[in-house]
Amino acid sequence: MLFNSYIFIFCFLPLVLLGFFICQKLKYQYLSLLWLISSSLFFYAWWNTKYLLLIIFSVLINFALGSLIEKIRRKSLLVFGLFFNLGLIGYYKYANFFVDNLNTILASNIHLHKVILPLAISFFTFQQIVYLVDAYRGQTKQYKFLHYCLFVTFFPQLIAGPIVHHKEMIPQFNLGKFYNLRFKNLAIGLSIFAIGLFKKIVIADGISIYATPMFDAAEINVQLTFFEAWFGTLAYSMQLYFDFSGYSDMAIGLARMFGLKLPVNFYSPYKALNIADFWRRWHITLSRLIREYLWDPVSLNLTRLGFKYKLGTVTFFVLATIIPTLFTFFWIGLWHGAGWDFIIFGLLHGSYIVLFNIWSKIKQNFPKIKFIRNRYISTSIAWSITFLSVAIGWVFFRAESINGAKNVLSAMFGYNQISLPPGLLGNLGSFEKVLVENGFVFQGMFSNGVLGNDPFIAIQLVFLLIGSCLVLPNCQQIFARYKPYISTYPNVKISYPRWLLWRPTLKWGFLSVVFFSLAILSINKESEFLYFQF
Amino acid sequence: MENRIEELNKIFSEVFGDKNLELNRETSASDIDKWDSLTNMHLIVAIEDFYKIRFELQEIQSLQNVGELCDYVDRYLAD
Repeated sequence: MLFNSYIFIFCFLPLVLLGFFICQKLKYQYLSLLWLISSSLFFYAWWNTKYLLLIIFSVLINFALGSLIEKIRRKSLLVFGLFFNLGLIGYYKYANFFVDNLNTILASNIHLHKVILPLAISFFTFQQIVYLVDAYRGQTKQYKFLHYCLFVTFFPQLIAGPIVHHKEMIPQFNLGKFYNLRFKNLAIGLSIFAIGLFKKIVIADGISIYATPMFDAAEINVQLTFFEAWFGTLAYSMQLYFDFSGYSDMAIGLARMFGLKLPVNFYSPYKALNIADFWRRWHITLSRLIREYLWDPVSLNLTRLGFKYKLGTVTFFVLATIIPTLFTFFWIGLWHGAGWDFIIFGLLHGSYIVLFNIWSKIKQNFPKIKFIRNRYISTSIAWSITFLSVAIGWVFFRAESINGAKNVLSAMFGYNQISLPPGLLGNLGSFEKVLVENGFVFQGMFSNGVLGNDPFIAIQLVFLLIGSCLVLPNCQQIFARYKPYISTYPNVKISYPRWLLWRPTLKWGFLSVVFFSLAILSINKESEFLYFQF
Repeated sequence: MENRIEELNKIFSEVFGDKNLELNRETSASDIDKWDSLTNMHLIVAIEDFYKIRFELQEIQSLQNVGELCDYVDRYLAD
């Protein structure tokens, strides 16, 4: 069941809210918990009943292990727990990939039936690994079984994040106010949900018609033009952001209807001025988890090694920065999917971070040199480099195959010649000769028709959306007065005009209805969230 | 105590290559541009190396500001 389906919005959600309200009237908290857990499991099973057992099994084993580890702190138990979880995800998500590669390397013919990826396995597995590690560290507090179940299965965050942390969710279940359905929470939650739904259905699905045909064409080796490849990629950059951040907004809005707060997952990532900041703003709940449980231990130990052997500047940099960065981003790539394109996506971002580090070191050693004096120009350059690097990374993320990605990138970097409108031919004077000598041709900018009949609509839309990403406040800022989130990024205090900030007024009620109706009217087909496949 | 901050100040300046850095107990990662998860471990290990101590990862991750860092160092040196 998808959030953007009639059945979810008009049946499931109202019924769950109604049931929750009845439980509240009966004043029996366990009933409310049971109701939410069973609704969440029903929500999960709607997709595939076969894997319902898998998630229940995973929750039971992990809770039992965690409680045991909490009591008798044995490392062997923790290791067993890690093997159990990584084994599950390894089989269900990576087995096919592994066997395929093994067959290629060994030229063997091992056959493995196609394993269907269970929905949400990447999300619930890692939430539970963190729980086990923290139990071993003595940072869990004898959670109640039902609280633990709800922490893992709570339907707003179950299938595509935010990846919640037990320390931030379970204490909320102990608060009395969670069990009370309140009008204020409903109003805030519904408004955030409406914005998320609008972002997903109207914007992300709307712009996808300019991204998908280009990537499809790349797979069948169509000679894309320079401009088609760029605008298709930029359109996809917008689609992915609005899709995933819209989903996160919906999750946060839904949770708030039940009086719960989820962590912020996006903080205007396309406003980032360097790549490190981008990763602090994009899919925050994933990057903070990777930072805390993978990057920190690896980088701490390698840095200690570097100090111990008193390495020179370059070898120290390789050991303490390059290796842990590439290692971490390799796993970020692989987390997103079992495929070489995802691994390349990860390693590419790892290299960006390394380059950013080298650049910071250069600036640190030559503080007197100001490369560009004008602050507006230097900010624009920093933004462009960051945004375009990210967009190039998305090509690997989106393309179905390495070959498809290669085709898109070669067009983007001018290997297919840069084609200009034929109308310009004969109107450029002596400049024309220079262009032709440099490999430009005049066969039209959009000759393959992958951007629709009127590509200029696509171009305008792409620029409009990039502009809105840069100018508009994010949901956390719009709803700042009501703090509907757990903060995960240092809040940027920009004084937005008052009319942009949400209040429980008629105007905002009307706006929410408009967002909601536009979105509902655009549900024509159930398009899946991009992040469901992870 | 003042002394400790001065010692740390020296290590911070060296790691971040900034001679003008002035620490106080309330200074946190958000006050120093270059102090992020990429440079954090370098800083921590430089401190470990200077005092010949060894922090626990959990302690490093729970550090909120320079004041807490001072207290950790003091506690380790007292042991």
